[in-house]
Amino acid sequence: MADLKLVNVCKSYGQVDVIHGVDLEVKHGEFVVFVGPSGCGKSTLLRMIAGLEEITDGDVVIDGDYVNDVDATDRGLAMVFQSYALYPHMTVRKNLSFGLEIARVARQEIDRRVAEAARILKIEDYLDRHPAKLSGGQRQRVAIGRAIVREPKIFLFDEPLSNLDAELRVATRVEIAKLHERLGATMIYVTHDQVEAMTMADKIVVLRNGVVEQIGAPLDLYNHPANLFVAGFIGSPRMNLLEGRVIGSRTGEIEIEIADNVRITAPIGPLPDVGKVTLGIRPEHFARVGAEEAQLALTIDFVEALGGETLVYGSLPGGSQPIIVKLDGQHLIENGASLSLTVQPGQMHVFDATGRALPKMRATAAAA
Amino acid sequence: MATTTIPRSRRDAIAKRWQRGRSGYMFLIPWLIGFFALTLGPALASLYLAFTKYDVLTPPVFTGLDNFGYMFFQDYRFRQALQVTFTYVLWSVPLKLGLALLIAIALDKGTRGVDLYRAIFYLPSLIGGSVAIAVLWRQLFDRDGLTDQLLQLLGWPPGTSLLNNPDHALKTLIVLSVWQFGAPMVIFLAGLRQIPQHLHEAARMDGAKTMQRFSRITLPLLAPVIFFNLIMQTIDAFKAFTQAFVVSAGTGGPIDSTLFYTLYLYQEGFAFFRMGYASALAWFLLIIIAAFTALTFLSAKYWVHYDDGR
Amino acid sequence: MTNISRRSFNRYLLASAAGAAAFGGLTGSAFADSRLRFMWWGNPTRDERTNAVVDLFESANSGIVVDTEALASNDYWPKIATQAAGGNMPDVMQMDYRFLFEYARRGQIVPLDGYVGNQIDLTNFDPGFVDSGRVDGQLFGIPFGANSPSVIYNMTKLAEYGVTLPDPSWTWDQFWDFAREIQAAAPEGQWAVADKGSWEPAFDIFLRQQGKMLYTEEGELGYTAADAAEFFDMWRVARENGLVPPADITAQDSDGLDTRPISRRRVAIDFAHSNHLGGLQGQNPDELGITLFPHREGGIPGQYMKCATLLCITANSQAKEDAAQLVDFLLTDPEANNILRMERGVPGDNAVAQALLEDPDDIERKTIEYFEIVQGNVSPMPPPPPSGAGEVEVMLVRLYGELIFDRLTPEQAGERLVNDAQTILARA
Repeated sequence: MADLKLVNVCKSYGQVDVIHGVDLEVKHGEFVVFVGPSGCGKSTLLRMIAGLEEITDGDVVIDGDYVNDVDATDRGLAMVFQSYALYPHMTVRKNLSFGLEIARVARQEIDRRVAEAARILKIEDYLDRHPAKLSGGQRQRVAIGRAIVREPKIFLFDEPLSNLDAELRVATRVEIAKLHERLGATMIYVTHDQVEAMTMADKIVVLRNGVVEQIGAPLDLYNHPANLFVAGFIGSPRMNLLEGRVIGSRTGEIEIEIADNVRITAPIGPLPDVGKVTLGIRPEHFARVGAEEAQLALTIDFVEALGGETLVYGSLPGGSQPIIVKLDGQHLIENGASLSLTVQPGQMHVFDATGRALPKMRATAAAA
Repeated sequence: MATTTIPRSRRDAIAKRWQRGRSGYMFLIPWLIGFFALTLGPALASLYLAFTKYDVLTPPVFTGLDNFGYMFFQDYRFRQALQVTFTYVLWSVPLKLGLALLIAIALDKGTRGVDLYRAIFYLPSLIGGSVAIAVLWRQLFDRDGLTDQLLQLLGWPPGTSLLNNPDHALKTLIVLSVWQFGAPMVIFLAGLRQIPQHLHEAARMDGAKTMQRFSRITLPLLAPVIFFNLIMQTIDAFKAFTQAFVVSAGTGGPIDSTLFYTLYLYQEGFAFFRMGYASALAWFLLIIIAAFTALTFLSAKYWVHYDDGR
Repeated sequence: MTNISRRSFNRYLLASAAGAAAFGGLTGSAFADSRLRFMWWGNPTRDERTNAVVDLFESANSGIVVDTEALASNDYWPKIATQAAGGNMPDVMQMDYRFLFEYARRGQIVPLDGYVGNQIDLTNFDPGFVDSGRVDGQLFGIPFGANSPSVIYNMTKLAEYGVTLPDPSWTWDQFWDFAREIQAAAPEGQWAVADKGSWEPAFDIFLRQQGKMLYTEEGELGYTAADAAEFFDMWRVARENGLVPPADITAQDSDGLDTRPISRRRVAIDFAHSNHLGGLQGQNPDELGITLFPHREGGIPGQYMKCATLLCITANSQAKEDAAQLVDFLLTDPEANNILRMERGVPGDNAVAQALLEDPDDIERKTIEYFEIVQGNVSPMPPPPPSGAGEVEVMLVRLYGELIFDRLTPEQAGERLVNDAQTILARA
């Protein structure tokens, strides 16, 4: 168990740069999730930490030691692969003990750790089977078990749940989270699923095209996305991003026109230049109100009633931008009808023309 | 009524089955003809001949177990042929497979130009068994040949002719056979490609060094391919004939040092016209090969693991 | 001639009718009156000449087509034996004296007495020479040229070394003295004499010079282990004195003329059948000469005229008369023999041989001169070798290998030779 530091870590394949200078600090015992769409470089970054990929530039530091030139065999980390990568010719027991045998750990100690891991993961019953005889979920547990017995400095998970069905995925997610709590180990976890990231991470690293878009605690990212990409990536259904124009700017607030005659006032400081912005509102941050209080009147295109909540798809009159609204509970709404909505000022995000988030007036948000 | 319907229905069923399979059987006929006329027939004939004295010119005379008696208790050339053949098999097969595996691993690692190298390395297998190459080797290993000159550079006495020296002729043929590692190499290469990269990475994460990964991951996972190559190459080696025939001008010389079993069999049958004895030799070779193959198969359960968990 | 043509014509009708019935008249060969197959073993010169003669025969006998096949002798006998088993031997085959009796007694070849005086004209043959083709009183093969084992030497090299070949009446002692002379003058990598202790004709002559022989009339061994040991020991001494090449060079010596030590220009003196003089000369830029085997001090002549090759007609031939016609043509036609010359030895037909003498080339002149000397030094032909003799000859080569590679002493080799030969004869 250890801490990890990445300093300006870069990776290029020939002329192609896939990781552009990542800086990151992972504290001892932290659960860090790398999230991003496929091809963002998250797996590459993880494999660089593991030592499976060479580092083109920058430093990887584990527990204060520079490990750039240390082979994967000697870094003392453990990795759970997406494909599980269980040794097909070995029994589950052998799969678990392999790394310990290589490390010449005493037989008794090996047996103890294997038994312990098997108990934690509830795989005692099939220790003597070969992986081919196991179900997907069982294999997943063995793969994790193989990491546990090693008692590694850092656990690395490379999309470990993507081969499981939805139900098992949720269950295993919870188990990994529990495991982290129980072991208190440093874990780095790669996924493309923002739900996994949100539910498991102490700290999320959002990656896109080899660049870190934002690092932060899950709720921090949710509440304060640093840019349009993070805003769109974190949260489900995704945040409504409405293109608009600033038409008025006062101290502490600006007025944005997002459709003909639809104006919204957002608690953002005065802008030097009046121009194009993007207004971001999460679907769950709309509230249904009476017509007189309405900031917005949505023309309803389509309604999904999920029981506990209702998703409303619509658009502003005269506007072409689709808007999703998530309402708690059940609502009787007809297609084509108009829905009166309001948004709390503190729940609005405004992004400038380059996509960067504009600082909110925290005081106003808090007051609201 | 009932008594007539049962056979008829059975007859119908047979007719139906025949009709269903008819085109299949039709396609099979050329092979069946070849099998019965060219393989099974002669094989059975030679089984009979193995118990006869048959000089080709006059009809065979049944002699019971005489051929086998002579073979096992009197024939010192038979013993020599066995010794030569076993020596050849036990050296050439492991060496050839070892080299094939080594080259396959080297090719598996490289990425650029692999296809070209693979073709180049395979080339000896295509031409290596040919008469022309055997003749070429004969020249190479002759006194004053290229190897003689090379060996002189290494400090051997001048005038060393490896192929004409009974102490070195068989070794030279073993080297010649090892050189034809192409076929098992290509199969090994395919086998190596089948091993998922993730397993190597998992083993690296488990701390296994290169040699440990080779012995603990690559080799066991390659076992089915090794097993296949081992069987095929062993059978091939037992049947080796051409090189020895050409290199020794059919004599198995010098002084029987390259008297491969098949060469001896050929001599007995076609040079000395003891077709009965040659048949007995052939059947004994079949038994040897079958025994070796069976042993290999029996050993397989201790070292060959298949992916499906058997 | 008209006789044959009419008969052939009738057969043509029959054959084409049968052919038409069987194959719908498709086969072009059905238009030949008769189709013969003729096989021999040989060398490129022999093959070329024999094929030319066959062409000549075909143009002289329209209606007879001859398919020829020439093989190396290693391949020839397995193929003939296989064909014998399958009943499809060639109509006419070249025969080796050592196999004549086996094939005759097994009924694979037919007596030719009935054709002599009809298709085959032997009036110009020496009756004694013809008799060497008789088996149990019947004529199964007609000698196709005579030869005798001989010493072949490199005249150019001897001149270079400044040594003079002794008189053909030389003894073995004189022979080895001469070898010492040569060796003293020879450069490194060159030796005086080829190591021919494995060559059965040499052993045969060595035995006959003492009144012994390879095989007795009864088909038993005509020598003892001590006799063989004496022969082997003679070569051992030569080897130890460096007069013959070392074992690995000798081991390369095989059937082909190009592998002989004299052809590979390793030695000044080699041993070969006299009819190979031309072939060996073809392998060598130096001039070769031919002379007699050395004699045994106080011994008797050991050399004899061999009819090394004979012509035979096989039992399964469907056109034996036409085949006899071909045999006659090969043996007695002056034009044909002007093509064949003496490549298979001196022709048995004296008129033909005489014709060749009028216009001999260099090789033929030497051969004839050699034969004139041999004639005065020959002993009668030995009795026919028993079945298995061919294998004993192969075994001798192998055994001699063990000897020169020091696996056996001459005494042990002598013992082994006798034991193994007896085993082989018993199994034959």
